Amino acid sequence: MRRRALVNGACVIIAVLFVFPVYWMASTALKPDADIVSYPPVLLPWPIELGHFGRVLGDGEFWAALRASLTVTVTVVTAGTLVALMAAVALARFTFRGRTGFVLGLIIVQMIPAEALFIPFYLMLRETRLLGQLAGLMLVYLSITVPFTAWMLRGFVASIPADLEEAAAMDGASRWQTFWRVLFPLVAPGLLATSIFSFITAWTEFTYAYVLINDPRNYPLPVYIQSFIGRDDVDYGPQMAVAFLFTLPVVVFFLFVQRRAVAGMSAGAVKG
Amino acid sequence: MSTVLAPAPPVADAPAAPRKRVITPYILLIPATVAVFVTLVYPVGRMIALSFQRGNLGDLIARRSVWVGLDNYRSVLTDPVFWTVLPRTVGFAVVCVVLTLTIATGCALLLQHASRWARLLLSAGMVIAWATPVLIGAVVFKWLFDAEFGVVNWLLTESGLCDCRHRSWLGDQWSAFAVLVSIVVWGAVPFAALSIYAGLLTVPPELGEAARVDGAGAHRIFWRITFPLLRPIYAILTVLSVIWDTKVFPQVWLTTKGGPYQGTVMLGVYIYQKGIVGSQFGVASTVAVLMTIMLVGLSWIYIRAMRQEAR
Repeated sequence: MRRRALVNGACVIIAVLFVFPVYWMASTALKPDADIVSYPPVLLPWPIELGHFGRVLGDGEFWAALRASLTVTVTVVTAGTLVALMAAVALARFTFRGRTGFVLGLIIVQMIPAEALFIPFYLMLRETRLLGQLAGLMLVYLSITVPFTAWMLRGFVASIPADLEEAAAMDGASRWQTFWRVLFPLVAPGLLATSIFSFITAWTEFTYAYVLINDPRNYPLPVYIQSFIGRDDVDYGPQMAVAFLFTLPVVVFFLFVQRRAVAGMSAGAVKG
Repeated sequence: MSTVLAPAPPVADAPAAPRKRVITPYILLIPATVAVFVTLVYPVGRMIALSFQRGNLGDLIARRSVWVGLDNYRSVLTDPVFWTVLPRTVGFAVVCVVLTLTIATGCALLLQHASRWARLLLSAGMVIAWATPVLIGAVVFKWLFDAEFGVVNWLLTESGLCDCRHRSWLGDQWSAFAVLVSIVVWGAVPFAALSIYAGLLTVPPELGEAARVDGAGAHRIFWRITFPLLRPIYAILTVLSVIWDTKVFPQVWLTTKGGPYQGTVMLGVYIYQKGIVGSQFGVASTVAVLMTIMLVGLSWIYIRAMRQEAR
């Protein structure tokens, strides 16, 4: 049993290593300035000081960035999920020419790296005068989320027996009723999972946001967070406070999906 | 983005009812097609076209396309900077992948052998790290490694490992590299570890027991029994990690901006510097095309590995 104790001890140490950066972010956000720039560092934020949060919440730029991020995220999640659901139903419930090709296309487009595409997107948005506009960023995010969510939802729709819809149709339900009354409730968990994926993508993406939004009035939160990194020094207190507020919803949503995410990893996983 | 999501377990295509009118699926697919075409197919075409054009700022403003054939490819492939950036990117990815998989395997084995409470503690810690957005990870690590008030310097000094007060980690190429590697590995281990652990649970314990009775040590059991059974998981994790660790623009840009003295410039940053900063859109697109070919090639291996595992 000494071996078990060693293993448990190692688990504790490694868990601390994983959580420490997040703890340091939160504790920095909760310390007074004097404790942030101190040597040796103050390990416990005590007494807790909410000044940085106060400063952030009193800053108009933060609210503008939050509004920008929410606008982009809500639009991308809503529009993207709708578009993806339509595509998923088409792919899972109909046989038609070009179906396999379409599915293959959905998989291939996911592999093109953001780092490679920001040049053409930059030029495209420049020419359409959408550079620096949130609408341009939304379009780009839709192009990232739709192929993946459509592919994911296709699996969810296909796992629902088509007999159910056929039975409803036999009972005289219209196609629209069949969809809303039969298919939609059953596919709802899938919709939740895909919208969380779109949410996290649109909320946390940095590369495109940084390249395509050059107007400080339209900075979404990721670009606002990096704007704290000045030429010489970083104002860590408020930056960590924003980072904390930014990360919180992601962690909350993540807790909903992580079990399924790990279990289903062999079925296909995407990151970045 | 640091998200991995996957659909419910693989489902065979449900046999679609052939009776339905054939026009409906096309109508349903219109929005998705538009989204993918306008925002992906066209840009990719544009990128490829640009790689054969001069594409400087003047051309762009005048909206003219000056075709230059393979000139951009020639200049990229003969640029010594490209030949430092490419191996650096590949080397960085390799280091990150090896470290990620090694540490993840260790963590998975710990999870397997730990008591319930310790297992819950470690997996909770990993989920928190995993859920932290890439951008936040980079920003926080920059603070941890701060030269004056960073907690890392203090810990190293206190534990007597080095006199690291005022040590500027991002001021030196190799230590800046170490910081970047730690950001990536910290963010990547949880997903890999939890996947390997999920795989370990599927290995029948009798196999290990039998081997132990025959006198095999833990090391031998892992390499002879466990690893071969988990090979598909390792294959997928390797390819995915190589792809993710090649795309590290946010991590680099938020910490070193490619410095010191361009020492941590990797492909993504190089494209940014050439294109957005230097307005050499043709050359930047050429690098982007080369990078895409590389990553799509890797992804192809990923898809094949995935298919094999599904079988």
